[in-house]
Amino acid sequence: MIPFIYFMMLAGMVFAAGIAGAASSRNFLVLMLMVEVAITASTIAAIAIYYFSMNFDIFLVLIAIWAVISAELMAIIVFYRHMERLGISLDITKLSREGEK
Amino acid sequence: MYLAILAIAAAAEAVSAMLMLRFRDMLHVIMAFSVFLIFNSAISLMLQQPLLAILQLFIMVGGVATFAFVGTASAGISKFSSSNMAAFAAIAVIISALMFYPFSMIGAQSGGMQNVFSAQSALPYMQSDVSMFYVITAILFGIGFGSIIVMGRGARK
Repeated sequence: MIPFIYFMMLAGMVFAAGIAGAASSRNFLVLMLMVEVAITASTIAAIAIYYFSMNFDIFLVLIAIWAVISAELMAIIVFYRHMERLGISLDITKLSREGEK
Repeated sequence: MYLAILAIAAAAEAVSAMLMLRFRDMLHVIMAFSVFLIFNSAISLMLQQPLLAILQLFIMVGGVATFAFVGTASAGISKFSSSNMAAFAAIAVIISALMFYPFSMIGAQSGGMQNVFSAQSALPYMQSDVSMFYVITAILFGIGFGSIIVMGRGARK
């Protein structure tokens, strides 16, 4: 049986990759997808906790996690469409420069 | 056997996350993200949750497909500047070290022979606040739909 801590370390690694990707990304869309990667880590952690405890309702936790992901996805699409209509560049470096103007 | 599968899934997730930053067009980025999600579902299968694995795949890939359609329809599959891989590696290592340090300390205090970070210790905190998950879910969906309505009005003006 694989130790519980391995799954938690995997979740931690995925979370770290997501946050690092969001921090180093130069494109708005990739940045948002990396945030999704970071959120996915919580799913791994929740399922691992359920598997090793078998003592609480995993669906409630997962519904909450998926609600976060869904809300974020909807917000991404809305912001993306809004930026497209305003003609704002999706390049993060250019976005930073626009903030300086 | 299971450990090898977990190692392969972890490596595949790390590589696909890196490829998401490496690729310069939306199509390949989405493909890398889908690979990431498939291996994430494989981990769910390993933890004997086949229903959750497929549900997760449907929900996430469905959402990503919608995102991809909107993205490509409004901007096309454009080439954009690739991400800073050195920064990615440095930040990932720092965050991983910060996250794993508490685990290693807990293991060292108990002799490192067992999983002292047991799931049981997390249970009391989660069980007492189950009703809060319903509230959080409702609020987040409300924020999601509310942002669509508000931003839609803003865009029309």
